[in-house]
Amino acid sequence: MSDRKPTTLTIEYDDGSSRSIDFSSLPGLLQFDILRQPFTLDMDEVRAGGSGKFLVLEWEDGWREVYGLDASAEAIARYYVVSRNEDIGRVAVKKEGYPEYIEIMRRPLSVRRIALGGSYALEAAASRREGKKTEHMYDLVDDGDLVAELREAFAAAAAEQGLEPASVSRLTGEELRLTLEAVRERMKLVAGASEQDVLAFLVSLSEGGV
Amino acid sequence: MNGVVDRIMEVKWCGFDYGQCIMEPGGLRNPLVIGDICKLLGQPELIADRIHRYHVLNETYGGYSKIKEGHRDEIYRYVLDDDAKGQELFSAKEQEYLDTGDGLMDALDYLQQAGIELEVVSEMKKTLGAVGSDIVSRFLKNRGLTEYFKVLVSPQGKQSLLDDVIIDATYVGKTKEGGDIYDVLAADLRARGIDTSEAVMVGDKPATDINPASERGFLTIQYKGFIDLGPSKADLVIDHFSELKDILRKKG
Repeated sequence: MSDRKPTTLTIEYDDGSSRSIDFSSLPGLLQFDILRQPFTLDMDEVRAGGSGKFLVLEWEDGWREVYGLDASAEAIARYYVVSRNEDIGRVAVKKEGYPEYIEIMRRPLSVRRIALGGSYALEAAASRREGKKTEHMYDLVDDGDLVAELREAFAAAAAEQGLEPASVSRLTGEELRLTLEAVRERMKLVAGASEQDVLAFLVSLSEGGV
Repeated sequence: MNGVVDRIMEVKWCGFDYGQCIMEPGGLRNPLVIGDICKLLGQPELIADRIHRYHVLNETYGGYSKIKEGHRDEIYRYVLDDDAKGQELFSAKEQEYLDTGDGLMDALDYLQQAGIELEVVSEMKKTLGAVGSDIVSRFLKNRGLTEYFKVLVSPQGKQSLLDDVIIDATYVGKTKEGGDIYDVLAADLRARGIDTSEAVMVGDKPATDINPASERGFLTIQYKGFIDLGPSKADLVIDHFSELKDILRKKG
């Protein structure tokens, strides 16, 4: 990677607006991911030999890989391998075109209910072994109304803050964000991947939607 | 059961299924295959995204084998962005990371030395390219299995693995699932002095490897070493190919 330090990341939208952020405030792995995209390739830095410090690995089958390191890298501290059975939940959602695919990493065997257009309990069905992998299949069985329960919880959380549910979505900007975050915490509800998604979900609940 | 005495089968011929039987796909882990391909293309930053897209295809079609059999073009277009070199690498990596079933080579050595004829019977319904360029033929050749298997029987015909030519077109269009491939096979074996009761089919799938063969008088062994696809009409069930050395004897 280049020795030059990026300062700002800017996103421009098709309505002419833009958002910028101090690059160093982005998560470290995201910074790394952006800076390894081909558009940031710096051939002057390549010609200069990069940081000058590299890790090289060779496999039994002859495969070899190079990792660039910080210029201050000195020596290998240790190499080890963690072997562990990992459970990964997979949700496929029908939509136009290809389905949406979401991986559930948090205790996937302990998911009790799932809701989209209905609320379903997950009942363990058959398990299927393929070599060293086992797939645990589940049936979706109608079970209550998870979203209605969340709507009630939203109303209760809003009331604790002295708010009518419907009034929440009339707030704007930072006041809306802070209010929604406070309600979210009271409800003990979190985002799986994007905080914007859970906040938009709460607005939908406030308007009686979802 | 006809021809089976205390788990001993006396046979003159042994047919093997290909997928999830002599070939185990367990080594085809996405981070390995897609990872290697992206790195070789000089695009390591695209690994996670391409693996995600391959998962999406898996959910669309309900299994990687189904994608490869019927929607390979979408792997090339949707996962690999129509990259020609990526397509070549995908075919190469598929071969490289396929495994043989546990204990297979040892069992084949035993069977060959016993004088039992060996053939691969595969439900390879369609193939692109010249005879011998299909994934089954390439796997058998790359793994040295043509030392044991000289022919490949499939709906493409009976193919010589040594010369890459179709040597018997009577099999063309006949399938394992339809059962008619076993009708042709039975007639073929009879012409060689082998009755179906002296022939055993080894495979994992009840619907294609076991039941239709059994219904036509073949002896059958269901292999569950990689996957258990449930009950079948199999005479015997094995979990490891080494068990064949205890079960099969040359008849006559």
